Amino acid sequence: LTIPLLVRLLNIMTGIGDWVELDRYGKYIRILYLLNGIVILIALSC
Amino acid sequence: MNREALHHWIQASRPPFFIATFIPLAAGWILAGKLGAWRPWRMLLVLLGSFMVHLATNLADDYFDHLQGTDEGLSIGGSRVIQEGKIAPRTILKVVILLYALAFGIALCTMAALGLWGLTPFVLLAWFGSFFYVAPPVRYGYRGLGELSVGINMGPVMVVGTYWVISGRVDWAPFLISIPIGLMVAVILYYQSLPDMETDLAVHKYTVAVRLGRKRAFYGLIVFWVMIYSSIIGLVLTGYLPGLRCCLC
Repeated sequence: LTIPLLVRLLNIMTGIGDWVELDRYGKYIRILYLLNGIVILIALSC
Repeated sequence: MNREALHHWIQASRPPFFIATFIPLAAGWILAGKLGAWRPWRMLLVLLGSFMVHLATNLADDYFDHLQGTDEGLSIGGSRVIQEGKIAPRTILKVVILLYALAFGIALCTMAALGLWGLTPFVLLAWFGSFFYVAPPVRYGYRGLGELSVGINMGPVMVVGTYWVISGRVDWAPFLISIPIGLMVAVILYYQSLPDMETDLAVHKYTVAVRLGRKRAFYGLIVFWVMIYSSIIGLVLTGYLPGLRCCLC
């Protein structure tokens, strides 16, 4: 579920010249955290 | 407080990062709940104290980075409320002290009421990690220890601590579950440091990314995620995350 998003973020990182621009994509890492976190919470609930 | 001031404080609190506190607390609560000990009032106290410390951490980070000059000029780090003249540094410091005092009060009352004095090291470790991230004389965030400390505090300390308060006991399960959670919080901090590598280096803030350099910092991110997914798979295979076993079949 979350690996495609991670691959996309890594592709963005390799394509960006100035890493200052990575700040614009910080939401991706938070979404990755949120999705994985929710998956863990759901798995714990089962 | 008028609407404009409220917006300034919301900006200072950096709400998108609060999710990093919610997930470990929820994990500890669910694990305790599986023992039949949901105890919502205890969870409410844990939530209140933890979010106060998280907010105090963000504000203290802004205050001490401002004193150090880390967030000045071209830097994009921090909430920038001080640099944009929205909140005075002195006001931020007062709120930080107030939040720590309230959080300590909650922790002391909880430990006293429940007889959980064994939590004292957890409380002290959380405060130390929160305050000395960029505050002198420790400033461990400037020495490349930010990810380690945040990973420990927002992983094992939060998950095990919450489970302990809610259930009244300590087990291995919350500690093991906290490993991928702590790593995921650490990787958020690590990623957030990447855009600031040059400005951090200029003010001698030697984060992990700065120490690694650009090329190895990229691979560092991959290593983080390999560890995260490996630990999750390990938890599934050892039966600690049974709900995900179907995904591996």
